[in-house]
Amino acid sequence: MILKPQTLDIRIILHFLGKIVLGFGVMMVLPVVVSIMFGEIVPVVDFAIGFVASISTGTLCILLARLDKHMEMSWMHGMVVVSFGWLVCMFLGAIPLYLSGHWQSFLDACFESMSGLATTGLTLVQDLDHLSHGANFWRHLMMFLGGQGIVVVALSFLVKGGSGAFRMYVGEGRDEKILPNVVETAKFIWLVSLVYFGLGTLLLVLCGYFSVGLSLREAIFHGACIFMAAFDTGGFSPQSQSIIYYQSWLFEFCTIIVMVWGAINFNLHYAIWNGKRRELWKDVEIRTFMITLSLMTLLAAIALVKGHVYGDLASLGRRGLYQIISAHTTTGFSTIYSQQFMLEWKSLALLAIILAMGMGASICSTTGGIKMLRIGLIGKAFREDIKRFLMPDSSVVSTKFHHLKDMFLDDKLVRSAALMTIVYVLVYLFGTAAACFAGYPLLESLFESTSAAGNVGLSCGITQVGMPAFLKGVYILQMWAGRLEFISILVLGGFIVSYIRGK
Amino acid sequence: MKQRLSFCLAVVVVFLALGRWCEAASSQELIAEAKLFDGARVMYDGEVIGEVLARGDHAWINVYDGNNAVSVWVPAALLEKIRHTGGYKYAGDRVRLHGIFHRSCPEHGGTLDIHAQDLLVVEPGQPVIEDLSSEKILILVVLLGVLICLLMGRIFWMRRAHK
Amino acid sequence: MNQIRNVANIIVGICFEMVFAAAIVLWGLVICLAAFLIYR
Repeated sequence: MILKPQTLDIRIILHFLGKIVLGFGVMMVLPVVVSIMFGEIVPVVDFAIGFVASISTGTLCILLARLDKHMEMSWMHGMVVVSFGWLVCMFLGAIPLYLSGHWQSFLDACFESMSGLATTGLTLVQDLDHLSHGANFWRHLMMFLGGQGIVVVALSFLVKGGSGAFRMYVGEGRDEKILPNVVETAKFIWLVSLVYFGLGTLLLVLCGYFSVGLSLREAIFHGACIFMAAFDTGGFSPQSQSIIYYQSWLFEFCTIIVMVWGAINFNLHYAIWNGKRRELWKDVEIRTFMITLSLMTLLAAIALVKGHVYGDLASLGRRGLYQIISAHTTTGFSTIYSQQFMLEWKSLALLAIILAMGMGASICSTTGGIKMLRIGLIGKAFREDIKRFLMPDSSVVSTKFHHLKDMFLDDKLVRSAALMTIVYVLVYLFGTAAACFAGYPLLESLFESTSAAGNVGLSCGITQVGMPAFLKGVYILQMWAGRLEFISILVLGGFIVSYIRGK
Repeated sequence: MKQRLSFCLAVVVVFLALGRWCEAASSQELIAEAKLFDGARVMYDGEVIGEVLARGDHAWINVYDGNNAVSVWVPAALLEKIRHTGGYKYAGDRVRLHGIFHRSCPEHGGTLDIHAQDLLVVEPGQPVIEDLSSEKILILVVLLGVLICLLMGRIFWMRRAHK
Repeated sequence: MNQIRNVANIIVGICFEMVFAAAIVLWGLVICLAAFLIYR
């Protein structure tokens, strides 16, 4: 028997949803500041509209909830608040973008907004090179907010701690706490992000000014935007050519540094910051990442060399290796045009990049994809099974792995890892089927679907304004589902079904 | 007779080919047929966007033709012609340039680029006047009104709850 | 957060991560070079 949600459940959900939306709305002040700095007037009005709409929505939710005392959230509440909150923030974030006139429809603006929040990077913007600094900054800021977690924003400032807070935190695709208290964990994630923001932006600004040749003002703007897109492994860029615009190997190298920072588990940052630097090479995720990255680089390099695509090591490095790193960290920065993937890259290289995109990087980082911990655990489970057959029947085989501490591989862990991997693969295939249904070839469909659901953002050409509307909807769903790692969205679906059908 | 016909046909073909060469290649064509154009002298039209990225005695400019922006490696002498680059507040100079196209330039780490040999500003850039529509102001005012009502409602409810 | 002892550890840690990123790039280039030498 399905239990119908009570009015109190809805009120609890509305209350916390309102807080999240308020936090999100306040962030719209930042693009206003940027626009004022660049002397842009119309974007100030666009963002003022977005800000007022967000604050109004948040206030309305809290008013409707009429929660006069602190209520604890159950797992269901937490999951529904997160998944629904992301959808509401997508709509609100799209308002100033749509008002700028650079998106053909509100659906396109919602696509962009979800792509930003989910740190994907697929874009439907038109004439990006003439977009206002304010709106451009907002695109990148959404990546910063979404990468850290909109719930994490709310937890840092607006929500008291407690088990409900933890449930929201888990609902946003993170299940590892760094500090015992989830609010402290959220604040730590912000501290790390802001420290890297300062350092990373400085690095990119210096590089942009001295190596690329940008003016100081633009170097600061580009530095901040590229940092947010790189650290949050998102992949938006201020210009339409992505990283090609800069024409600088040093700048590309700096973006790789920031991408790798973003691809590392926040827990690992905590350990390294505390002096435990050995953790970096002991960690199962880092080891798995090095193995998979080496394999994918080898496959791509062989294919590109045999196919005479790039004639020298520098070209292979800047066009081949860069794309593999960008894909594997699920960033999506590109040093080649999206059409060139299908026109010039050979099938084996495309396979390598699709696998790299699909696998992703660390859990509890800003990256997407299946995640290295799961791949690593599955790999270790295979090894253990093979060992069992090779050893005498009476022997007991157990496998240890190191993830922040020494742990034993048990069936529960492997089962959970395998299940999530299967779900990811099914979602990749679902998106592939949708694009094939729209008439696109199989390889392109697989590429784009993996990019969307893995929150990567590299495109082979399918994502463009003329794309069918239903496919835009499918990719929005995939980006949303991939970022939240499915569970909270399934809970939302279940909640809606139980509201309609329950007794 | 046959010889004359063949000669006329050859002349027509040559003129058609010349006519084709006189059209600027679009960025879509350059990317799609990169292998065909590789190493060839091409003509390319577009708007200079972003900034002029100076690199010693040369500079990079990025020229956008409505579909993609292509990086062009320009000698300093030709750069003096460019006055305005495109962004939010400015429509950049529209240029027509000739140069050698590279699918994967060995000099520049494998990038797709054009090494410009000559450059002409076809249309100088213009400032773009921001257009603030009165509808947006109206929407903002209405929304502010709604927000004020909601905030008043919240204060009222909070006071009631405290009693 | 109370447990983060000193700023020096953080700075060294961040530099360490930068070196790690550089090592990834270097290793990737070695693999690319190997591919060139074998298949060219």
